[in-house]
Amino acid sequence: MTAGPAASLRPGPDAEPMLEIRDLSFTYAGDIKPTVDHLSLTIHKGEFVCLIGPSGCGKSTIFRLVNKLLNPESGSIKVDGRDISGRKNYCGYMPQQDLLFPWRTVAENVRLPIEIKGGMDQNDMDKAVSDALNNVGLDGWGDKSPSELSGGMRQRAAFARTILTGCDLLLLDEPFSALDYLTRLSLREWLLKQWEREHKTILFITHDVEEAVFLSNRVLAVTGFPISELKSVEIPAGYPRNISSLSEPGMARIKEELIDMLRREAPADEK
Amino acid sequence: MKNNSRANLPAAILVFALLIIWQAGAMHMNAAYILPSPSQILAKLWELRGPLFTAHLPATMEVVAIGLIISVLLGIALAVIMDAFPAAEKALYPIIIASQTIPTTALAPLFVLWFGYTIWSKVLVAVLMTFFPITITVFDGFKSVRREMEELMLTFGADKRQIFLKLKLPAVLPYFFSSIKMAIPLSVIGAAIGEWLGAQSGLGYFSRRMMTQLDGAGVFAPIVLLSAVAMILVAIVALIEKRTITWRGKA
Repeated sequence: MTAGPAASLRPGPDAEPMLEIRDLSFTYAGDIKPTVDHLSLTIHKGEFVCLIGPSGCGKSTIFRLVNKLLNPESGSIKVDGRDISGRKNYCGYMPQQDLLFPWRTVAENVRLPIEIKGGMDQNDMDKAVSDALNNVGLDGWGDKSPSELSGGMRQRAAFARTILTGCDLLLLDEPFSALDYLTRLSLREWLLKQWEREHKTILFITHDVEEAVFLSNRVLAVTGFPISELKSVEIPAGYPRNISSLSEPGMARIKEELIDMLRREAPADEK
Repeated sequence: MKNNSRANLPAAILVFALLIIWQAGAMHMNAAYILPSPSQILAKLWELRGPLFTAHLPATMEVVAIGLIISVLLGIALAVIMDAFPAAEKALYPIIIASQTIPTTALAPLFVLWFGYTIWSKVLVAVLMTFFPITITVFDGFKSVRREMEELMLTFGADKRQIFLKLKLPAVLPYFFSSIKMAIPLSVIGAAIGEWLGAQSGLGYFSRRMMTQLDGAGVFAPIVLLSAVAMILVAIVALIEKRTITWRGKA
């Protein structure tokens, strides 16, 4: 617990910010109330932060503003110290569905981000893809069609594709929620290993409190609508973690607190 | 292939049974100028093989080929334009749909007036009947491209060209093949109708000439040939489709 990732668990006052959101506001066309209202938040380099909240509370809207699929009304977003306007390839995005293209092999799917970015010759691309597939435990599956893969394997392929965007900031939007429970459990542990090896900063959306507590070093909870502030809760456990970490007294207490908090203020109940 | 032929067995038996009933009915009626029997039609086909295969079939196939090529180019161009520009979709889509209420067959004499007995009057009929399913099916294919996949490519920094080449084009291929399979029989029908109304050669023209001579089997023979040609062409396209699209029906 002294090397690389451990150092990033508790970002000190001098830890550099990876993502800085200042005064961000956004209203969907046709809505009266904004979905995001003067929100500010900072994610530091190397953190694993989970964003939790009930379904439909606007968590994904924040992601879509950061990856520029939506344009903010006001406010600024900085990644790695620079404003995102006019920039490409500053964050990797992984949606809930794997969205592997059925007409491409697994390797061709994983290659997509570097193919789009361009400027790499065929050999280098092949090397990068086979390394990425190796790292997610899919070596030998590159020539297969995505339909031959199980749900968990497809999600791992989608993660390899996200890694090949080459970005240090990864936005994962409920990537495991469509999987069965046991696959989800093993992929959580797997994801932590990936995070430790790749030294990425991960922002992870989930509505599953247990998942959030297990994965992150900090949880950001959505506690109202519109989203104007996020309640930040530190998770008092180091890494590596496994399934039994969840039953440690500190972890169990935090889990209950978070569930309480979300229940009390869940916007879904107010409507 | 073996599974395929087994799956088609019931249909083959039914066709065979219908042919036998037809044969028996025609023999009973014994009026070949009204209802020729299948065996009489086959005999006529053999008897007329010279002019049918060397003069009339090539003439019709020329119309079908030119008509199909123009329809495919026109259909795809319209679909791409409507997909790329919402304004073009709003302007073109209703017109294209409305164009199908015009009875092409009734317009064909006008085309003969314009183009005379040249190949172009027939090509025009074939194109008018064929471009529509291609346009609409390919356009539907573009519409079926998942918005999420496009968004994912945008987050990878893809431009419009890359989204078209790497996402839309492959996604639309299965729709393209379906549209071609629909278009082939239609272009054959279109060519035959065009020839019926004014031509100096072609299977449609030949069929009509036989009618004026009250030769029932002679009317049917070129029609059998037309159907066979359409079926063979569709089968060839289906084969190419099977080779090209290995992912159909898989998500």
